[in-house]
Amino acid sequence: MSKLPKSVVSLCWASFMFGMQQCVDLLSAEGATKAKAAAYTARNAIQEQFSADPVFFALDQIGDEAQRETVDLLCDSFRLKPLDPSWLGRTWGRFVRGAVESASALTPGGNLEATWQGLRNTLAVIRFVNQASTTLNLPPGEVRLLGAVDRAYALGGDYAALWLVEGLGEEYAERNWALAAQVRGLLKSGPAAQLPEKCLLMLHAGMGISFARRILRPLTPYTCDSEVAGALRRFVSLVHDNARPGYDGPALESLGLVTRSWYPQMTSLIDRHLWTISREALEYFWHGIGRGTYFNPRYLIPGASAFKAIGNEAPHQLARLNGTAGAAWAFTLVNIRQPEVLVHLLKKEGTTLGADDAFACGVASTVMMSLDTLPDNGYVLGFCRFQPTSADADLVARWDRMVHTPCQHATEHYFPLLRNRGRLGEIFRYQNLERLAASLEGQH
Amino acid sequence: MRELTKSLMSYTWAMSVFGVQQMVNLLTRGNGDPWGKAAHAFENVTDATTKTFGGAMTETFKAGDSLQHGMIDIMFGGLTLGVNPSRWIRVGREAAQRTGEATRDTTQARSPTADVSPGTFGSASASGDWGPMPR
Repeated sequence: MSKLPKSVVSLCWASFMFGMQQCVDLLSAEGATKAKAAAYTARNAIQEQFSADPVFFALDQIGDEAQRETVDLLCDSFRLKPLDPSWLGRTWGRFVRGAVESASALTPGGNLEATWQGLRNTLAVIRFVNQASTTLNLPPGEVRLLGAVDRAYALGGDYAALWLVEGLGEEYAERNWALAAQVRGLLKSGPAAQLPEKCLLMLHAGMGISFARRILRPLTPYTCDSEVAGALRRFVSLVHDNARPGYDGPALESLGLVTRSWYPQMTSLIDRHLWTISREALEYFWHGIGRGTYFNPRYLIPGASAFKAIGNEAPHQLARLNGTAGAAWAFTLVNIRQPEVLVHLLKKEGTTLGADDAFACGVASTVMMSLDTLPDNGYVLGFCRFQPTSADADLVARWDRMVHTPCQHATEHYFPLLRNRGRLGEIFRYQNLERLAASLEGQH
Repeated sequence: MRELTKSLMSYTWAMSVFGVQQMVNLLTRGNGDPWGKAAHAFENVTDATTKTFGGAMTETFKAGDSLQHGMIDIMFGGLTLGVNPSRWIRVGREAAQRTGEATRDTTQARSPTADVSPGTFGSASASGDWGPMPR
């Protein structure tokens, strides 16, 4: 009975002492960096408590973003920036654009329907992901992988099984990490060798989430370069040691997903280091950032667009292409049963998204991943056959170029080829799929 | 300065959301043991926060924490001990003893003379743990 009050007063006391520690640190050399690192570490520990609670996670993320923007605004005001017309135009432009886009998304009719449907689908997926562990109800101790996979498919049916398998992969890696000092061959050997192929992509993605969280947790944006580089090398080697050949892509991609969801301030630091460590890992990383951006609560606000955010935040072309493909991957997968939501996206942002083939690559990759993971469902092929019933000829042509044709190529050509060559993991990054297929056929 | 302000405000905001989350969890009384889960969550955050402390600050935290825990024990003891003076005295003595130990630890941690001098293998450290073993 006295445990809870004791833990509450301990935290209050710890918070007070934390403030004192920051004051002491600020008086020393390098004090500001130490204080920032400490605040970052303590904040992340609190954020971990929201991991199974999407409402509080969203509240924390949106509130944090709002307070950061307020601090920026106040600092700019102190520096008299509002007297600069270009600053004023930029700032007001951003606010007005945001308000107009929100109003447009909420306008009754087609816009509101698509916004509402998209939001409902995304929240349903977030719920599947957060409840994966509870739904699977794994008994304590060693996970019997084969039985658990069967259970995930039985419970998840023809759609939620995807997310349950991903959750299972994460839990399996977590428990094995706790058992052994060095995990090896997790999805390569032992009970994992008997697994059906259909579960491998998402199991690898789940394993990658566990590794990425373990690796990133002790780091801060102020950690020294050698330590960050060492941690990232360890992540890459962990993935190579535990993933089946050809399946390291989804596990590497999870680094981006975890970074965007839990440690967004680490993005630029990881990007800088991965350039020298592994360009392949960098591409997967940015694809994961795209996927994470789509699920970020900030972009669930009606009118906000994950694609625009990636376009604005991506520091280079590789990041933009992979990020867009990743966000398209998530958007398509979440709304695959309601293609009208995708039609609405193309109507709003099709011109920008059609400027290159990143979006089409993301859509085709999702279709291939779904065909592999959920071979018995009919909605993937239904999605590929879908044609919008719109009088807008441009929109129909756009759908055909950005969705219908890439899906057709994916189902008929790329998917059988990649699966036969054991290279399905490749679909978790942006690349020219036609060129990849040609190179695989050339090798043959 | 701007980044520091953001970091500290971010911590404060997260702490506020955490407080609300725990309150909601306790009031809605979900499955299992909500009190135990809440206590565990508070402990996790406390642990992570104290890991950012320096040596002296950690010891000061421990001293204050022991004192507070002792006071809570006395308070809860008051509800169950009734009017038995000897039990009251025992609980009070235990709380005072724990606080004294923690304070002594703090003083020793801050005092240079508390360091184990070379050659004193096997002597106990300030916290009462075993010292380094001779090879």
